[in-house]
Amino acid sequence: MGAHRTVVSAQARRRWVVVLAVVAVLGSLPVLAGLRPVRAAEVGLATLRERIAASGRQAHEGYALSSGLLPLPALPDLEQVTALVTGTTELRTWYAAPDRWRVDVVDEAAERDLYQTPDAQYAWDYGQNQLTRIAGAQPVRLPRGADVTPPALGTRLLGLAAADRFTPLPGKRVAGLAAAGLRIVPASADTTVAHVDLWADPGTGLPLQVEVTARGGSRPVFVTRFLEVHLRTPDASVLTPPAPVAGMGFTVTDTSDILGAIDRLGVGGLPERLAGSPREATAVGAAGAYGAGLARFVVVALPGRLGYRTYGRLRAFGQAVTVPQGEAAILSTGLLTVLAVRADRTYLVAGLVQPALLRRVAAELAGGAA
Amino acid sequence: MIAVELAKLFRRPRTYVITGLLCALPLIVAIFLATTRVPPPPGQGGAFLSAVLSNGALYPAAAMALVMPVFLPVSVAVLAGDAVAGEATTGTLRYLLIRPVGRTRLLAAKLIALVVFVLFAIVAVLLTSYVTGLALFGSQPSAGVALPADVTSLSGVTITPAGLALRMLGTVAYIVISMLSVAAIALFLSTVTDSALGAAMGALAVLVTSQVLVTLDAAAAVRPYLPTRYWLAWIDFFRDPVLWRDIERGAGIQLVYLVVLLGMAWANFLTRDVVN
Amino acid sequence: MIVTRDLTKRYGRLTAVDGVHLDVREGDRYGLLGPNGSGKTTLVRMLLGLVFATRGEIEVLGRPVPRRVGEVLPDIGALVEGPGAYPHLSGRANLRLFDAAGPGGSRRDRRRRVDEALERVGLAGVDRRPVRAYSLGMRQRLGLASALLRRPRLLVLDEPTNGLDPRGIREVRDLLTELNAQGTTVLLSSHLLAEIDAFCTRVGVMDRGRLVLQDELAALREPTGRVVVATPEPERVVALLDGRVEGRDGTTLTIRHADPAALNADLVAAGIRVTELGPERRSLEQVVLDLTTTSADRVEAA
Repeated sequence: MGAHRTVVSAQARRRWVVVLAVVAVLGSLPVLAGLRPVRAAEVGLATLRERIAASGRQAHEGYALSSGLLPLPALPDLEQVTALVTGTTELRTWYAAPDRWRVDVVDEAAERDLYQTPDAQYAWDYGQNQLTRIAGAQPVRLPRGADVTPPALGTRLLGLAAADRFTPLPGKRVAGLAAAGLRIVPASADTTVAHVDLWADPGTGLPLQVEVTARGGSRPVFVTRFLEVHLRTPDASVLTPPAPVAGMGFTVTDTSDILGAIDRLGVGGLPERLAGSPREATAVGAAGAYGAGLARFVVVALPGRLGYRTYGRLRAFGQAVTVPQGEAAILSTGLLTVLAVRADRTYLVAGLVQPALLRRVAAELAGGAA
Repeated sequence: MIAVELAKLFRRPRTYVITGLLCALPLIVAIFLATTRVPPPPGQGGAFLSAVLSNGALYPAAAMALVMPVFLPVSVAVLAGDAVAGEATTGTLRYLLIRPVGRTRLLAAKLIALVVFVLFAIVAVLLTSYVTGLALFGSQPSAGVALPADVTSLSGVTITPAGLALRMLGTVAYIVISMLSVAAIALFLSTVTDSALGAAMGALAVLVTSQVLVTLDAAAAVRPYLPTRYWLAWIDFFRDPVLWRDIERGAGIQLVYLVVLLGMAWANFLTRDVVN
Repeated sequence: MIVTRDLTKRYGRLTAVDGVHLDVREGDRYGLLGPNGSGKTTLVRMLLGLVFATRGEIEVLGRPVPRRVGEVLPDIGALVEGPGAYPHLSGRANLRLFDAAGPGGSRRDRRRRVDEALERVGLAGVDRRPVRAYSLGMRQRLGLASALLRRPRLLVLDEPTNGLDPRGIREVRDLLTELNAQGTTVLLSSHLLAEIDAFCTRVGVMDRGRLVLQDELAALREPTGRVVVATPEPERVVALLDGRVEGRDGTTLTIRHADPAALNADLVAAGIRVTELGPERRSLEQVVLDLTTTSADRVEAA
């Protein structure tokens, strides 16, 4: 065609116009869908807080995506935990009641499912071809996929932030629902969290989206949100754990992860106070929590080999910290700060706290335990 | 015209060579797996590969995961790139057009022939890999008795043979749809250039770019619109309950690409000078 | 049958066909003559709706092209710039596919139609060998058979004798003559003078995209007003007709004279022996060479 019009160039132009029109229509659909105005039900800040706090009874099922942007290396035997904060996790949730739910962590060609039934938890790992029945309470355990669904994370952060400042946020459409928002601004100067933004279904208080922004950052570094959510009770068959069959590994345990195992080794003996905060009474054995609100941090005493490898990893990616005795390394990701201290034994410390606080903790752990 | 295109497809030795190669890849993998019994570590290697060691009935799914990301799109791109440009090269395009065959009809027939090829190739791969799977891995871990070939879904729930058949059917349908965008891209380029190789290479360049962008976090904003983003979504058929989200989106995206690129092919080809 | 008005085709800056007014009448054996690259093939492609004109109108079998080309193509058989066939299939399979691709022609008598077409072009005994193994001449015949499948009213043939041996050329010419006698209009495009000369009744000459001449062949070959005389005694002729001898080549003389019979009488009266005598006619070659400028595939230094 070029510069010269042929006798059919008018037809050709018409055809291209039709094609371009189709492209324009198809291309604008997602944009238009996003422009739908949000008319969140007017709900007061206090009411919203109450409803979110009580949303644990709200049955729902959905598909959520959590994504963390923290520059954290994979720590030995903790890969599944670090993956939660360094990448995107696809989650499917079915929630009937606090003691009857299921959360699937969906991978490209694998799946890790967690079932909560009134009498036990069941974990299914497709990659390992392993079904695990976890009986009994788990006083200490690692964070897992089920902890970062918007409802789980939202209610947990709200619970921790009881003493902090709350401000309302404009509503927003999440997974097709008009959600009401609130912002938590931590009062403590020790935490790295600048604010937590939370959107919830105004009627039921079910958290739909949670964004955590670190101090000094303009964009949230951790986001979890529903892409699809239905406020209905899931089918009972979905909540029934698979039955073990031949060819499938099946174990019964009372600890779900390595932290539980370490805890049972009884390394024990954590300091009563660290950086001015007392150890929480609930913590037992090898793990302990200190601090209040979002400035909480967790200390774990790691056994020999694992401690050595974990320290090496943090030393490689983080900074060395001078301590009175032994050695320590700290890794600051902006939001999450991780510290490893090698003194008489190895401590792993993690929390959404300022590096300065953990440096003090390092000094106390390395000096005090001598 | 469709019958003519199908006759051309199935009377061409090339069709069978490509299908044979597609079937050969899972076969080779199966032989290595069966002789060494070294499963890929969980989360790595092809989907379902570690599971087939205990149950060969799942091997067709593993075979799909093997041919889907590279081999199948390459063959579709080669065939689709050849669709119009190849006719131009052999000089048959002008004779078809003055027969006369309407240009729109020609494009439609070409596309249908491509769909039939994909179906043919997939079914061939499924059948050969099913036989391979049963022969090399057996249908039950502790063989001996011929028990029904129950397989475990990604969610750990046992899939009945009927359920497995349904899921495989869904998989076939989804893969055919996934290949539509490749076919449409190559078909469009095939109407632009007279070089079949150029059209195939162009389509592959688009796919490789898309594959790279899918894994790039910086390109997250465009990821949902990339043609290859949802290619492996058929794996979601093997979850329990089936995760429809990506499957629906994948099918939708593929149809959008199909409509747009076929539209472009049509707009370009209908008034193009056939000088070859 | 075919009328074009001011038909022009440009490819970028190159004008391939320039303001052509073609007129092919029913029953014609029309010869489109011109050197390579003069625009014959582009013209033929435009008539068939393969290439779209930049300007001008085309009417084929009374219908506008390319707007209603679909209605006229079933009545046209064509061979454009060499035959085209699927190389891995046999000739027969190729014809079946082409027959099935087009409209009309029921499935039941497809075999008969294909056999008939093969018979006509002298490929009746063709075996299952793939076209890949055919000679150029066989492919040419196959292309011709494909053009004849639907007993067309109009045959548009571009260089149909390419690759054929002299006997083959003769066979094709006889076939075309026979078809023409049965009422088929034939448009034959060629760069070979002899071919057009031997077959056509009307000639169009193309040069650099323009149709520089379009006329009855007989009209082009009218006498030039000169007489060619061959004689063993050329000197005596020159002496007798001093001043009217315009050319001499050995024993052959070209003499300006209106009436060959009168000249013959004069020579005989003078006792000059004559071996040959006749009016000089313009050869088609001369006409074409006079009209065309240069061969398009010739590249002159600037």
